[in-house]
Amino acid sequence: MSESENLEEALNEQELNTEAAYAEEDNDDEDAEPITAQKVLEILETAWTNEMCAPELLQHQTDMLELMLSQVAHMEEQMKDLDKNDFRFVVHQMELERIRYIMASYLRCRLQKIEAFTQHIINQDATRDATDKRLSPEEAKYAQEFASHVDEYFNKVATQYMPNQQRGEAEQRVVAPNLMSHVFLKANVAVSGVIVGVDDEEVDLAPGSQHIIPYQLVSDLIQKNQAQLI
Amino acid sequence: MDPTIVEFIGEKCMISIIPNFSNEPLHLIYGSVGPFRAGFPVFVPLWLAAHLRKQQKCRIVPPEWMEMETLEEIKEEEKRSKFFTKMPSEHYMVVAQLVMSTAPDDVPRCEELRTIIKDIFDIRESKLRTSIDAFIKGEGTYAKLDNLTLLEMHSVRPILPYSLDHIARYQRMATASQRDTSMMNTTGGGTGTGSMSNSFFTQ
Amino acid sequence: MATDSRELQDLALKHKSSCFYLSTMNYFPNYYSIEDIFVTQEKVECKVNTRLQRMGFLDAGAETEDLEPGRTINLPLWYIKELKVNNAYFTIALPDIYKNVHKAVCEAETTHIELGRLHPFFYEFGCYLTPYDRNHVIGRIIFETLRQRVRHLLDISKNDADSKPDHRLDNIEAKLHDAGVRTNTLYINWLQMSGNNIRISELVEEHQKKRKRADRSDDEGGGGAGGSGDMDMPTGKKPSW
Repeated sequence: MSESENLEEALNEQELNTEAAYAEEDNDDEDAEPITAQKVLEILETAWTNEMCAPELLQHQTDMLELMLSQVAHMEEQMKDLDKNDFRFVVHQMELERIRYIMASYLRCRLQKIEAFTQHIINQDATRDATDKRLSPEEAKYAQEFASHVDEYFNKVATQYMPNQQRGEAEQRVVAPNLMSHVFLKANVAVSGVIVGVDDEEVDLAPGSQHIIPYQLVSDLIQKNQAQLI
Repeated sequence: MDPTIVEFIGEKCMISIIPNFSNEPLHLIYGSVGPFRAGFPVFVPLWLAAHLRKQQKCRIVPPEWMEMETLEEIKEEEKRSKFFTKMPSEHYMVVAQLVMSTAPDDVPRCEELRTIIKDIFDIRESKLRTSIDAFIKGEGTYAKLDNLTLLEMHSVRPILPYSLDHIARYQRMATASQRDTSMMNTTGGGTGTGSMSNSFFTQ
Repeated sequence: MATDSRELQDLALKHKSSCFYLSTMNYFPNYYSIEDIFVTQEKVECKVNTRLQRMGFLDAGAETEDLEPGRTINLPLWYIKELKVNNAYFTIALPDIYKNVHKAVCEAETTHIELGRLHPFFYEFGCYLTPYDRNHVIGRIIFETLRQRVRHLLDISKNDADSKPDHRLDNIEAKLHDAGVRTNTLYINWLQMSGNNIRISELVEEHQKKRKRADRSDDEGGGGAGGSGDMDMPTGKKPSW
């Protein structure tokens, strides 16, 4: 038996480990189904394209990211002993780089939104239940710090020299995204009665059909994964 | 989203290669590929095919539709049809571009194919522009884009959605002021993200 | 006034490229938006309705300490927009540019209008004035004008990327045009597979240009010492790949 098979077996095993980890994490949830690394990747890819296309910050995917990160780390650990020029090493490495790119691009896109709409996002998240927060705990911390740094900066260079009444325009200064931005949408399942336009005109979306439409009219479909942005 | 990202997404497409080496299956996260047996075709993702081809470790088998007769038919059909016809691959441009640039020798009549695929893209793109024109003239804010591929959508991005955003915003503004003459010192152009979504569509 | 703000605007927009995400997003007015500041900086002609004590300084031609009813003065939009539409002090006179394009809009002949020459912020300025227009024409005009011109914008941004028709486009249109040109350039690069090489970021490129310019003025007449170290190419030029 060659070393190669050992490696592939070891890599394969990890999928099981991941499943176990996931089931364990959610074991208070009766419906929790084991999830494969492949499925996690698909979820992340969808989250990535949705995030790139949506005008607002979408729900965070910390669970999926953590699962994928541990999978990637584990695979790299397994690959350590392989020759760097080995066919298998190169191919696995390439795939990991692709996955890493998706994760990095996804997180970077979220950071850009957080920096652009900091206060708006913080305010909105404050009204949401713990389970519905859009910001991950780390992102929330980042957003808070970013906001306070910006405030401090403005205070140092400008607002402290202004009359009191002009310092209070906090509400006016909140930058919010245009939720009526037009987006490209693909329906994942059949959705009936989507309001799309003039006089509450309704249409039914067939699975796989594609549309251009203001984001706000379909944001709930994205949330429920009935449709995705493309 | 620029073409390189569209390409990245399209690189997930599976394509057949004929390897000149043998190897056990590889268990990639995205799914297993292989086993590889020298001289026998096997399906792999496009990104892997392109890599192996550059290393001279395989020959790429062009997809069935990458062939003059089929493409001539598609082109004629596209010209005839008022709507966008369904393309043989969701990423036909990306597949064609990658295969023909990494492995021109593996594709018979490569240059002719390149031209005809470009023709098809151009026909579809100008169709897209014409339908956009009709769509905007009809004061629409919503349109169906069935069978349009990602790269084709990209050809009018972001200029089309951005233009529609502005048009819709000015329309909201015009309608709002008509409805409520005493509307005053709110934040000028910024009005109406949420509360006005209904007035948006009235004519 | 228009040219001044155009220059300022260009300058300010170059600065803005440091905030990547906001600058690639579609324009949407907000508190920090430099475009919005420029628009609200524009002057609006107002008729004075009541005597305003000790406000005579607002009127350059006035010799009285008070601002007298019936006088016409120019006030910046940022001030006017804080007053009620039907306030007792000023009546706003709507600029003629919107009335002037009305006919063209009705006849759907707007593509040839040199909008940028009429007003650099034709649409956004119009947006702010909409509530003051009792005839409800301006709102309709800006909406219809853009609706009619989009096809043309799509066409010119695809076909003549090099010749940017500056005076023909207003600020909003120029941005749309830029976006279209960018898409087209990226697509062509991709088709030629020339985008595959990793390129240096625009920021670094700018910096290098500046340094080169500085170097060149230092080097004048001094020969190309400190070149690239490439013996075959004493000029320091390498073939680009």
